[in-house]
Amino acid sequence: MQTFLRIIGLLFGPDGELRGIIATTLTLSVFSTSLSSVIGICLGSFLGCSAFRGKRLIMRVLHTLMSMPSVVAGLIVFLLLSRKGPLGQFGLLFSMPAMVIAQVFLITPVMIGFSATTVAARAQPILETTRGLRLGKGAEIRLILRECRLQLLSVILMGFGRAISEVGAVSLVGGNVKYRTRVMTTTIMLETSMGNFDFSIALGILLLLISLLINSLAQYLQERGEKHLRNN
Amino acid sequence: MRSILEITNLVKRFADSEILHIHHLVFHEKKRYAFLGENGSGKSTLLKILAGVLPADSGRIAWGAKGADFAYIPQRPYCFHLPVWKSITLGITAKNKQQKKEIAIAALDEVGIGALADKAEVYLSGGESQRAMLARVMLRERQALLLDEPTSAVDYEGCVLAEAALNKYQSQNGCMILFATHSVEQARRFADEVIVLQNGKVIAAGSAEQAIHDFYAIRTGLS
Ligand SMILES: Nc1ncnc2c1ncn2[C@@H]1O[C@H](COP(=O)(O)OP(=O)(O)O)[C@@H](O)[C@H]1O
Ligand SMILES: [Mg+2]
Repeated sequence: MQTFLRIIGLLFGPDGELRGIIATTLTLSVFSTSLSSVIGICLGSFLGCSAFRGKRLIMRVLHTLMSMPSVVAGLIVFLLLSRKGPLGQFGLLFSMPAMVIAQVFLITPVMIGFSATTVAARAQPILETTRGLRLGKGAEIRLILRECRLQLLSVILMGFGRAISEVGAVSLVGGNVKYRTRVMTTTIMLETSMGNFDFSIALGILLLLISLLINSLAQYLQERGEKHLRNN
Repeated sequence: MRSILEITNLVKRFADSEILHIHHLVFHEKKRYAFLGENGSGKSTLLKILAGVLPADSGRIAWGAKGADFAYIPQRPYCFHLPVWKSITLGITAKNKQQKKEIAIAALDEVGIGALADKAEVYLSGGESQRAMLARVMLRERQALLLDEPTSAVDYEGCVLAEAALNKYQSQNGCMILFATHSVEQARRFADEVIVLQNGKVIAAGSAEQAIHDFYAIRTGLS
């Protein structure tokens, strides 16, 4: 109960630190999820509905990248962005863009992989039907994406879940700088190591609540879509 | 009569076994052809190749002067998460939504399912969706219709309606209709010419009566 009151106090009290941390976390996750959704769904849909030489190799590499630990993604981006790295001149390390890059690097393969599987499961019969009517490439792509949209929404949610819960990549390239790159997960790590269990628990609960909120919204959208269809 | 489609030495293999080998077939405008054969005889494979959704391993498919101007219904067409009227008018241009819907309902009425226009296509029964697919191709002006067992799940009255609608469509635009069926009755009833397939080869072809006669003769080993 005391923990609960403390969360309320921190959330709405005069000190804006917790609100700042939440804002940073949401900004980061929304940015990285949006970017990797666009890349992931485009490339994934392409992979899902085409056959070409070398596709098996690409899929194997993709599946390997899908199980990449987040610290490894962080490490690679860290090396790229560090002062002596190939992209060092931009001075991005320990900033929001660096964290976005690391998360996009981490999440995009998962998005590509799942989009490809989703699309591949439906593309063949859809393409046979649309080509039989010669609807054209544009209509084909639109219809495939439309038919897969509920599943693709789940793919996006899963990406968001991975982004918001991930700690290894953001702490490596973000550096957990107070008021700038400190996010909920890295704060939990820090506060726990300092013995502030209450604060950590509060943040943990908040993280879960955010997930609950987003998933409820998605579920509502899915159910509304199905209901609309059935009512006709 | 002008020829619309000519097939020469068409071969298709799956995993090294020859599924289809057609030496030579010619199809003419204003005619109706049935590919008659048992399950697995290669009807769908041949239609898929003609429709360009499956590549052949070798051989030649030559469409006539107007090119590959066809509409194709796969054996298992995809049913969209769309109202039937929208699904069947995909790619059709109309003045406005209202007019498009009217066009769709008129076409659905022809095959007896005008009342289902607003229903989502995914929730149609097998026979209903096959009727919708037929309405969809008949909304398009094409030189050839390639139909893969288009009425296999349609009840008898529905078949009669569908065949009448196809008849009307054909008499208006003089197209060629090519359909696969495993029903000797349908072939006899609706086709001008019948091509009997067995193990991917043409074993009889010609006028419906003649080809069906040959088909039975071969089947019962009398030939
Ligand atoms: N993609 C495929 N891979 C392997 N075998 C196939 C494939 N598609 C069809 N076949 C085989 O080819 C034969 C002909 O199939 P199909 O053309 O669908 O027959 P029909 O439509 O006359 O029932 C069948 O034996 C079937 O198992
Ligand atoms: Mg078949």
